[in-house]
Amino acid sequence: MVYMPALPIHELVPLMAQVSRGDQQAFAQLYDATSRKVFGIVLHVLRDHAQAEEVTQEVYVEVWRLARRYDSTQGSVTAWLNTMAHRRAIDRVRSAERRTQRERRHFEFQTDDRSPDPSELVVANDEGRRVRDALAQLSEGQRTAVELAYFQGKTQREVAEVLQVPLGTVKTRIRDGMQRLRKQLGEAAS
Amino acid sequence: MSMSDSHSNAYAYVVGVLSPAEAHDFERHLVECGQCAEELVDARTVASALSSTVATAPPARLRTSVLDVISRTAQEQLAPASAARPALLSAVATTAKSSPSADSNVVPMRRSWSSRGSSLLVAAAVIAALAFGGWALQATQEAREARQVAEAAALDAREARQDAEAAAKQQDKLTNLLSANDVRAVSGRSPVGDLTGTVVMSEQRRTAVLVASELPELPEGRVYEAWTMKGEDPTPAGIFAPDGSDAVVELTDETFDADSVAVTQEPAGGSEQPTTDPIFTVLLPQR
Repeated sequence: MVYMPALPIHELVPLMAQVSRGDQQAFAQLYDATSRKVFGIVLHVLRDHAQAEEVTQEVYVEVWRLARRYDSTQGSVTAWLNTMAHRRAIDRVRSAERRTQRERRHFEFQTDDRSPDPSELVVANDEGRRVRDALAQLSEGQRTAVELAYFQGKTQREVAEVLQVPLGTVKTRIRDGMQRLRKQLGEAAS
Repeated sequence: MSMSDSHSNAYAYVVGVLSPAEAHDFERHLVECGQCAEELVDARTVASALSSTVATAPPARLRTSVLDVISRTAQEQLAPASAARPALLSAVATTAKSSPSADSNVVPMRRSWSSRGSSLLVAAAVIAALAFGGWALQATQEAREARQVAEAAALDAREARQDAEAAAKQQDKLTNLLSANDVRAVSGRSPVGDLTGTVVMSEQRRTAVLVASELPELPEGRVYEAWTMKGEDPTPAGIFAPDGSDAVVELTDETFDADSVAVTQEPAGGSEQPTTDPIFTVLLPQR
């Protein structure tokens, strides 16, 4: 697979406008520019390739259908896509969890050992590196809370149990951690 | 659960740790808390950055499959311009044009053209149009549409509810604005073309909206941005990119301290400072 650099973020807004007018070519461009991130987060939360493909497809079909709802005052196009992708992945994990908890744990164990293929390494992009650096600077409590919640789809109660902290502390840690991330990313970008 | 419990839950909401009940409360809270709405945008941006640490190329077959499915999928036409809106806009445009005070006050924009046309005629027509044919009806319709879409297509129910609530809230706000004792409307018109802009505002209700019609079509990658001007000092008052040539935009609170409202064309995402000349300016009544 040929790696194409993602379009600069500001170019996605006009692309999105074309998509909302039914432009399928623009949609293909949008897909190429964003699918690594969308697929990546969905895969990371679900830890199952087949399900991740299914959910990613659902997300993009929704993006196509609801393209008109994108509002650039509410954030970037990638943030919009990411919100949908993450939410769907979390919903899927939670409903799957209710059904077959044991099975999923087994899956998790297996897929965790999966070594990345070369194309994924190429994708270890600048943004990813910057964010990882910023993550490393959080306190351990903050980082673990963010990771358990965002990447593993753990509930507030589950995060509290792992961290051995009161329920309310989970929200505070996540908020503090993410605000710090935001600040560091903002500084690194400027 | 009270509203204050929801406040500052934006990050927890985005990462997904809120219970369904808490998430619902937060969404309701969001409709009336600008601070949380802003924080939500930030939280989504950080979350999106987090996702870049796990970016993974999907298999090529997924692209093929996605493109195939969308080629057979209809897009939702959540038309922002419902049948009700043109009636409102033409009423505004006509009165703005036919009102002598509006016309005589319009001078070319580089010589700070604008209108001081606090014409009662304009105000009455705008208010009548808004109240009976206009925005309120449209808001209801949007709310209804949002609900229908939720039921029919089983799309993300949370989003639809937000839309419906936002539309219903917009309607309340307008009803509130139009029922104020001190509601007034001022218009300005561009020297070229039929472009008109009207600001409807009530100090009592701290609400102001801008109604623009016959806006030139935006080039790709551009948006309109409204500004509240204090003397020569512009403050961003919101960006908008109407589907057609007409727009109704809620203005910021700053409107009440401003001398005028201007609209410029800006790059997508808007600017901190205007980068082009205003396409029109509306002088606000003096306080």
